[in-house]
Amino acid sequence: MTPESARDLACQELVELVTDYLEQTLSHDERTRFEQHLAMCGGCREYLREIRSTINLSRKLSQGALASKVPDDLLTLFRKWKAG
Amino acid sequence: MIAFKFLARGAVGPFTGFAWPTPMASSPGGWVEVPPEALPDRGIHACLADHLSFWVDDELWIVELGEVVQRSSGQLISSRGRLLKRTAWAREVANELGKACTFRARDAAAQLLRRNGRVQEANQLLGCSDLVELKKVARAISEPCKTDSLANIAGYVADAATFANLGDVGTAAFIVAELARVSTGTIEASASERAWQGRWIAERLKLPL
Repeated sequence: MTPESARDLACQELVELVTDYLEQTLSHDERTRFEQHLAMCGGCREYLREIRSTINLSRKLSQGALASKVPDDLLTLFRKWKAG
Repeated sequence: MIAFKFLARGAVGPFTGFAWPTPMASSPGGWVEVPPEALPDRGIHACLADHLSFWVDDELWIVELGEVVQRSSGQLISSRGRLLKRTAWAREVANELGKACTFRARDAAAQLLRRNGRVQEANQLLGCSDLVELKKVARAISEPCKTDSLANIAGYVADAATFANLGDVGTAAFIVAELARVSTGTIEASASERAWQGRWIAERLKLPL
């Protein structure tokens, strides 16, 4: 295993845990590992920043702010994704 | 108790974005407190010297903590804390650390190569005097055979030299700790390497221990 692949694995793990991190449901040790990875990985820090921005922007949207077609398009996409 | 805390530029928490009250003249910064019901999920995080290299960032502060409610791998959590003093940690010191831990990895790799009869390659590594040269030489040793574990060790040295030379000291320190783990097969070797890196920072900056 090269250091790069070790790093990639840790980055994948972080992506899987990001929701739990933001919802503060990680155990203390998991959160420490998560933040230790963030401390050395600029890419993952940027990823977390983008996720936080997306959440903040989404909170500002009301249903009326969307064009009428958008919710239907999103639902169609979601159903296709769930269907695999 | 006295502990240490890396912060982003402007005394800002790197993960929370919290702006810490900074010391004024000879007075410490104001206490930051967390309600007891929020502990230990939310709390004031800091670390001891042995764990400093996990958290490298722009500024390193000496902090005073209240009662420590939890200790884990690399962190202390308290109900309250305040900034006492900013240390002399700076980009130049970070680069020195990157170089020091990479050359320490170089020495360990050379010793392993020598012990396994690969004296010429060991001497090539030991003859390197800067990170750019070390990266080139270590990469040349690592590339011919991906399944050769000693060549793989040289690959770690090349990677550490690459990141240290780019100024990404946190990643270089991680790779060197990983090299210690891989070359010995023990997680304790990685922790020991991290402790060496932390002590290097503490001695270089004359931190109160």
